[in-house]
Amino acid sequence: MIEKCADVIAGWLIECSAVEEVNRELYSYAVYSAFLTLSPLLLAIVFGLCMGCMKQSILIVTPFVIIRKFSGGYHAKHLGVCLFCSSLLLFLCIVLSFHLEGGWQLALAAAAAAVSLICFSPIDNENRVLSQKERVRYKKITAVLVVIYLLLDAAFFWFQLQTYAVCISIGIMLSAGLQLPCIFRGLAKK
Amino acid sequence: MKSKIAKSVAKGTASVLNAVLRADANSTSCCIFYQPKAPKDLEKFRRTK
Repeated sequence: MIEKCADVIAGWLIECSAVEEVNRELYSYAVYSAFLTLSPLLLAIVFGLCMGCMKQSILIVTPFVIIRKFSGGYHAKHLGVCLFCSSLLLFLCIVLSFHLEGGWQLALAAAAAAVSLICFSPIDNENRVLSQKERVRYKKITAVLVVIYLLLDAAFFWFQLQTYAVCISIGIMLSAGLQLPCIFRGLAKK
Repeated sequence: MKSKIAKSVAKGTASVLNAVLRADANSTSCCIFYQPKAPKDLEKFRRTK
């Protein structure tokens, strides 16, 4: 369905002479990718509106989206599974953010997740294999992003904005947690 | 007039999609749990060759 829509949009761009026919596949992929990139934010907005916690849901999803773009991690084989899992996981994270309390335990868990992200990133996928140069570059970018979010987390914690600190921590832990299946699979292969 | 508007909207859309392609070519993967197969031409948008 989404693939067909992407193809129709690419066809329309060709019709309007904005894109050349040879690039149809590329722009069809771009439309698809734009949808996939925006979907976590759209999900966060929908859940935020439904559950009356817009700030929390956006604060959870933002570090996750930005870090995961460079750290990589687990990917499902089918889009349907992906959308179902994303929705479920985001919903669970929002619920978790209501029940978790900011404190040293959570700060330590977030720090452990950050160390794991820095050590194991980037994790690539068979559909998007990375070169050695890209691996080095994305590892550095992930490390910088993780440190920035940890500092932001510490600042929220320091200024007693516990709810926001919890959300950022969950976002970092979610990115690290979704690398675990790939890390374990890699260890099992060895 | 109508086709002129359509053409400029299409050009704007193409520019946005170029930005999406650049972001995609210079990152590990899509940010959710599904990664579509990247076309070969995506390499044109990579900073590291």
